[in-house]
Amino acid sequence: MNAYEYLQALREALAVLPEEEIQSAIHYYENYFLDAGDENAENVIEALGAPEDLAHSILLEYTGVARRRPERFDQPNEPLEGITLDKEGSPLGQMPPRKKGISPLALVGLVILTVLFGIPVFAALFGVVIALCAAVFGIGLSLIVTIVALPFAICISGGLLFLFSFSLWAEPFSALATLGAGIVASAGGFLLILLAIKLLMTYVPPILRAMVNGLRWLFKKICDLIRGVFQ
Amino acid sequence: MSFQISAALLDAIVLAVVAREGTYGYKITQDIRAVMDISESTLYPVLRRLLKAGALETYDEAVDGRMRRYYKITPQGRIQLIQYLSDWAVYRDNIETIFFWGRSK
Repeated sequence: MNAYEYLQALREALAVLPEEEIQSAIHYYENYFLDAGDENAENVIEALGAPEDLAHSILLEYTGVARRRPERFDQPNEPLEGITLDKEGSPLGQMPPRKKGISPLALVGLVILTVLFGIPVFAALFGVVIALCAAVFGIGLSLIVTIVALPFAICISGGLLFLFSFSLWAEPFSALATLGAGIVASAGGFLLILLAIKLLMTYVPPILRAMVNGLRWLFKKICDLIRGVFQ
Repeated sequence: MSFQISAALLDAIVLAVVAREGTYGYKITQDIRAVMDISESTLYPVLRRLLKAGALETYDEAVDGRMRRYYKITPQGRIQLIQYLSDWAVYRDNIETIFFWGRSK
């Protein structure tokens, strides 16, 4: 196979591409053979590999690029057709998007924005968090008070009934009934107090701990966020 | 070599070679092959990609009674190259910090 035959085979293997692309590739490899010189033609053919393989690497570049950036096409599922249709602004028209670090100017802008808007917003958010915490705390406290106060009230009223019963000795049955009710109420109240203490001991510390952990987590997140912006 | 050359790195290498002077396909290939092992068929798709991206442009010049196609870098390509070079410096420093315990800094 000589250079001419090689290029002919390459052209055939590239036939699916638009004519302009085929021309470009053939022109390039024509130049390549000429620059390598006649005496090196065989070496070049060997180094380039089979024309079909070479064509494959060229085709792969097109389809590869097309697949990497489907947003450039109206019909993302037909990358090759997209290339054919595209006459002026080519689908390969832009370098792949590249990640960039934050520029110093943008950083200064960001700091100013943070000072102007960030601090009030942050303060407001902080306020909301504090208010929520206070609300939860308030509800919790009132619940605790209720749980503690109710058994106490029952216990005390039982005691009062017990004392009151002594003024009813004129009617022994009423007095006995009141005495009984008083003893039952104060005993029940006492049991309820024990129950309340048990409940509080079991549930309050974990809830408090969860609240503290939640706040700590939130604080850590915010710190990470701020650190992330400045890195 | 153990390390593969990524598409972006290849773009950067070709831009850097072309940025030195207007040059042509065969010479670019030989220049790069002098320092690293790339296949002869690697370069054309890269050049085509960079052309389409507007980072390179071509011109034809008469040599030995024929027209040879030359490539030169565009201002846009130069910006691209500068970005690549600074990215590379960061990348290299980061890798070397791991490899050599920060000796490069």
